[in-house]
Order: sequence, then structure tokens, then C-alpha cells
Amino acid sequence: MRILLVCAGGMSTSLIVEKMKKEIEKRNIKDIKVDANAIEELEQIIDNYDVIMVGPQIRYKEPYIKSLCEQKNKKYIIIPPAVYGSVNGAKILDLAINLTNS
Amino acid sequence: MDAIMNFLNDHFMPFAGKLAEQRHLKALREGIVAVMPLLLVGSLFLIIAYPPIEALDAAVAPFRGELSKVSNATFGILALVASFSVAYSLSNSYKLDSLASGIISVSAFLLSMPATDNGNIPAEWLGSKGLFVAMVIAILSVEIQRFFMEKNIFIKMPAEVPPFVVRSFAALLPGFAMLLLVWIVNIILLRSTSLTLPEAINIVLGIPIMNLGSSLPATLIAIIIIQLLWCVGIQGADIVAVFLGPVWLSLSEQNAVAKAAGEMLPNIITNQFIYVFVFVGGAGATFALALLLLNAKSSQLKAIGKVGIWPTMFNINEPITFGMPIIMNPVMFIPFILAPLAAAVTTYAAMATNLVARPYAIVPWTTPAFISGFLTTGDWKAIILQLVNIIIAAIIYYPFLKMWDKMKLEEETKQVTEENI
Repeated sequence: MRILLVCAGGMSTSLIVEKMKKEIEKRNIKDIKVDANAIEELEQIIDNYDVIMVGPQIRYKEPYIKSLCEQKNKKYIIIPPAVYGSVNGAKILDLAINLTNS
Repeated sequence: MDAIMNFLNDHFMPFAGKLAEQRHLKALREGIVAVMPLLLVGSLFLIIAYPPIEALDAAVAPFRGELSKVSNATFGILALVASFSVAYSLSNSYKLDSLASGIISVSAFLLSMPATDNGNIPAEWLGSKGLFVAMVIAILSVEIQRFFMEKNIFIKMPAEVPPFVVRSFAALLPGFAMLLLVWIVNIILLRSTSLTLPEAINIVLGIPIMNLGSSLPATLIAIIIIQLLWCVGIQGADIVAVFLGPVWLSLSEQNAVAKAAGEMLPNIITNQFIYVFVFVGGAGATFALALLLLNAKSSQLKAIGKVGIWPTMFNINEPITFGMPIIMNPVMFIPFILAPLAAAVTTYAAMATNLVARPYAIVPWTTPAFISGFLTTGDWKAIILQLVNIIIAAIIYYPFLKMWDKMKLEEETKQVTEENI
């Protein structure tokens, strides 16, 4: 599974990606890849991913993200603010896994 | 309070979202962001050309002319590059041939320039002075291209012609129309008003916008809007930068050019004013808040402080704004808005009285406080100014944080006792 986290500049999401990578290592999962990038890049790179996770600070862009994800048949989720703020890699990873299983 | 929140969420957020997604505004922002790497390189050479340490200054002096060539080719061509990158971004959003759009736009931009007596392109218009001209021309040339595409006006080719060739001919008519338009308008303008097209665009658009954008009241309003947007959890600076980003950046460029020419720096309000001095630690000047959080009594807030202090040193504060949280938390709104406003006023006062030098070099926005202040101004007193801004922010945040800390602590002890029962 390939997960992409997007926010305005890809900065704060890269913090979370680091935590998620640690969690992936801890759980010894082999087939998960996580990246962070800026929302501006989403359209160019979306094909490389299965799940799109969106930082809550750019949730005003949801209409755009939604239409893009529907068009490309990808799943997306806006990360809940409280989870995002806690930089909780485990919880956010679970969110992504649950999303693909749903 | 709930009513305000609901209003912001239901009406303001979609509105802000639409604004930020507006095609032309987005292209302007993306086009300007594309110039950033050039400006950073130019700044590096500018810092080397004017080292903040006196002993080095004398050593560098003989090479200054050579070094300033780099700033001429970076800061000095801001508008020229923007004429390409803005057209490129806008064209991309229409899914047109973006490379052709960029090329036509550059050509039209140069065509609009008044040639000097010896036939050269006047360099002054290639920098920030020509930025609004570049924007207008970029948008116009892409819109003309789109018009031709939508009306299906292009040179028809037999099916055997390779697509590559067809594509190169597709740009021919809109390119011809755009250049013809600029050429004719320039002639008519010059004959009737003795103004060139760039001069006219600047009088109508550039100068009023720049004057407004460089004023303290407008800047304070911009900061309030950024903070209010963050209060409901929206990347506020991004939305405001759609309008003010180009203005702030060209004000910075004017300072850089003045520095390279050894002149007085004209502007206080600049890109650096906002990102280096006002938003120390990120929007809301949260560096001070992160320090205070480390001493919070509530274990949750203390944990946020520990997680948040490192990224906020690099001006990334989402762990704090979402974790504490400040977002959707009315207790924290007042200091969150007041702290950056106070920093803006102190910084403006310190630079207006020349107590602290004005910024000229641009550094990445993730550069930590103190380093960023010193590098952008070349003045050690800028470090003290950043420190003062942090202290003022801490004083503003303190009583509100205390209040929130107490509420959180009560919540936590209540949970513990409930668990014990």
C-alpha cells in the first residue's frame, strides 16, 4: 500500500510521515510506503499512491481533492485535527489501513 | 461562540477555499513561488557580497562588483521569470500547451518594454518594477490562447502530419494575436498618452497595490485575517499570500537591489518582515508558546510542548496549533491574534527608527529564529529584536495559557479520580 500525506507545503506532514515510518518498522510491515508532499503536487503524483491523507489545515480544499480522488478512483481522508496535532504516527497509520480495508 | 464557529465553518471556509482555488490567483501564487529558488541563491550571494562582519566586509569589497552579477541575474529578473512561470501555471490549469504559453508570454512581456535609445531591453523592468506587468501579460496571453482553443481556431493539418508538428503550429495563431495586440496597444498608448504599456499598467495597478501592501495598517489587517483563518484551522498565510505574496516579495526585491547598489533600503514591510520577524515559530508567533508549554502543569499540554518545540524552531507549528489545540479553542484566540500583531508593531517601530537594519536577503521560511534575523538583515540587533518579539509574545500568551492549563489539569485529575472509582 502506498500512502501519501499532503498539506500546504508538505512540511508538517513530513513530521508525521517520519513517525509513521517508525511505526511501520516497529510493526514490521513490509509493503507500506509513506510519503509527504505539497498539495500543489497532488495532481502530478496521485497515480503513484493508493491512499491520500490530507492535513486538516487545508481541508478547505476538500472539494478539489474529492473530485480528483473520485476521478482517479483513490481513497482519501482528512486527518482529524486532534490526531494530527498529537503527531501520533500509530493512529494515523491505523486510519490509513482502516480506510483501505473499508 | 458556537454560532461564530458554525458561520466560519459553513460560510467562510468554503469562500476562502474557492478564493484560494481561483484559477488566476492560484497561477499568480504558483508562478511567484517558482521564482523562490532563484531569490534564495541571489540572497546567498548578496550575503557574501555584504558580509555582516566588518573584517570580512573589507576583504570582500574588491569582489563586490563580480558578486553582484549573481543578484542581477536572480533578483534582477524576477518579472521576466514570472512572465514565464505565471503563464505556465495558468496554462497548466487549463490543460493547454503550457510550454508554448510560457514562451509567448515572455516574448509579449519583452515586446511591451520600452526599448532604450541604443535598442537594448531596459533592465529595470525585468525586476520587481515589472512584476505586475509580467502578471497582466501572462494572464492575457494564456486567455487569448484559451480563446483560440475553445473557438477551434487553429491551422488545420492533414492527418499524416506528426502530432509534434501540429502542436507547434497550434501556438502560432494565438502567439501572433497576442504579440500583435501588445504591439498595437503599446503604439496607441505611446502616441496618445506618451506612456508605455508597462508604465500604464504600473500606474493603474502596480503602484496602488504596492503602496497599499507596504503600509502598516494593511499589514496588520492581513495578519488578523491570517490568524482568524488559522483559528478555524485553515492555512491562513497561504490564502492571504495569494494576494500579498507577490507584493511582499517585490518589496523584498527592492531592498535587495538597493543593497546591491549600496543605497538605503526603502521598505520595512517585506516578505521577511512577515516570515522572519512576525511569525517567529510559525503563524501566531508560537515559538514563545512552545517554550511556555514545556512548563505546563497539565501532562497533555506538557507533552504537546515537547513534541512541538522542535518543529516550531523551524517555524512549523501544526503540532501546537492542532495539538494544544488553538484551533477551534476560543480560550486561545485572543493571544493567538494579539501576539503576531504586537510583533509587527515592535518590528515596524524598530526598523522605522533605524534601531534595527531592514531586511534584504531572503532565507527559506524554515530557517530558525535568530539565525534568520541575522542573515536577512546582516545586523546582530535583529537577533535582539526577535528575542524581544518572543518575550512579548510570551507575556501575551501567559495568562491565557495558564487558564487553559488549569482547565486541562482539572480534566485530567477528574479522569484519574473517575478511573480510581
